[in-house]
Amino acid sequence: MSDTADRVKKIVTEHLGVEADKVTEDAAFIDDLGADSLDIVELVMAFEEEFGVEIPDDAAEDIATVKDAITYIDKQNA
Amino acid sequence: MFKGLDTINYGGREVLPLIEGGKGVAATNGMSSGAWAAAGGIGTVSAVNADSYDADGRIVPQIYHGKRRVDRHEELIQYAIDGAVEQVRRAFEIASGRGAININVLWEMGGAQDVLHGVLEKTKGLVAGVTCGAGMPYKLSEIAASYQVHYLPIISSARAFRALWKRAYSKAAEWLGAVVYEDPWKAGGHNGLSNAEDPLKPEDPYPRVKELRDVMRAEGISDDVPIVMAGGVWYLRDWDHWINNPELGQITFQYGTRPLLTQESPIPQAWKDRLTTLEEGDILLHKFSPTGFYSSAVRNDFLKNLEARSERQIAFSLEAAGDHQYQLDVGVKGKNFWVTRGDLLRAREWDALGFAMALKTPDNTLVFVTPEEAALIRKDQADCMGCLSQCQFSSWKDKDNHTTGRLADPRSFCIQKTLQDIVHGGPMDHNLMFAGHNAFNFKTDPFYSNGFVPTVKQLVDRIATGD
Repeated sequence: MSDTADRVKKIVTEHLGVEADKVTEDAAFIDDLGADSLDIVELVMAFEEEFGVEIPDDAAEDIATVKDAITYIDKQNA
Repeated sequence: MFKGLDTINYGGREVLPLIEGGKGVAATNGMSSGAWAAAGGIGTVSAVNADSYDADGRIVPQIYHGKRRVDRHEELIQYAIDGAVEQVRRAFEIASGRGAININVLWEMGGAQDVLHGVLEKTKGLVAGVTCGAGMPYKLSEIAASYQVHYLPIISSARAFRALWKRAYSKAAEWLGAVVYEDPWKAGGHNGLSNAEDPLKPEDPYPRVKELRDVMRAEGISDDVPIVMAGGVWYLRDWDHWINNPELGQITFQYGTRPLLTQESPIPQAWKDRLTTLEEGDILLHKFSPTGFYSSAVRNDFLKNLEARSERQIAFSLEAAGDHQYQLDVGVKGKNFWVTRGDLLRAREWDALGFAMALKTPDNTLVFVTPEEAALIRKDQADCMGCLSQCQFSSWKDKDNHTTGRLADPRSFCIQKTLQDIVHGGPMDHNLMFAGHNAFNFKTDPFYSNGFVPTVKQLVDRIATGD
């Protein structure tokens, strides 16, 4: 597992207060992890802070799963 | 003794700290908001599919001609712009320079940004600000600033404001007119209840508003920028300790429900009459809205029907698995619906009662409805005109490929159809009737005794006394 994946999962686990084993790469924030739209905004802001990237609103709308977040961040940092 | 109200400075205008809450569809219009402004407050034209008029002054029915949803969606945007512009012009004329006129949009209404641009472009100099809630309206500040009008985000938690401010609003700080705190447990219409709050456990608004002010202060926002307390406000004497309270900074108050019962209020007489009969507890906080948001409305037959429909619901699997070992033999065509034994028996009972059709939901469940209801649900879904950014009822989405990719949800309803119907004289019991949880006060408040229906001016004057 990549460093990005570990750090994304840690943020998601802590922010949403879900069990770590539920935060798989395929997990969808809303449907699987019980997030609401406000949770997602806060997650996006936490990713920005953690990884020093900018995630514009349009891009944020396309981040629906843990994997989406990891892929986007890796692409920005490539 | 009520300490009274001081006027505030709103964009260079001296106004009463009293705001008429914008209510779509067409429940606050030019007449009501113009009168509110004329009385010295801030009137709010609802720009959510407002009425426009023909040459003879008759309301133009919003009929859709496009064959595809996307075409009807474009028609809807045009109706919305035409209607809001007309209502703003009427409001401005009635206000005659007194008070101020805001417009209100639901951020998750279909084409919200197009509507905002269209309305603000054609009402320059008439509109003082835009109130906007439902969803996360990041671009509100940018759009408002580009027309040099204020923006007043409607939020239900300090969390939501912090996120909006950090991501967007701080870039247009000078146009922040106020922040509307809408009590999600008390306000009528849609609200911002999040997963962090329990719909069954109302929270005291004071600490939540204090937290909001603390966040605003931490972000460097002046205490002169008002927080508008909305939802559950009836007698201002009950809010005396909020006024001139240094802990909270400048506070103003928004009224959504009380202005429904005024002479200028555009809602039908039957709706007004119904308001005066409501008892405490008659308003239901629910989640049937196709927006996916919680909202509050009168628990009439319309809502009771939706509650009952959702109760006639069972989970199923497409193959025998786990507890689902019994083949469903009513309501569905085909044999691929496996349910529990208990649910099979319940379904047979519903079938015997006439609820003979099972409709799939996006959550792998079936709801049982009568054939007539099923036909109506299907027709309403087919007639969708794309009035929301995303609709759970019809699976419409206002961008990309125009579908949410989820099954249309028969547990919800066409909100455009029902709100247009009720405001234009449709049956009160068979349509969604938004109202705040304090609406029962119409029956108990002596102001309304002997059937008295105030003018907006009389209402504003009354509110200003603390009553």
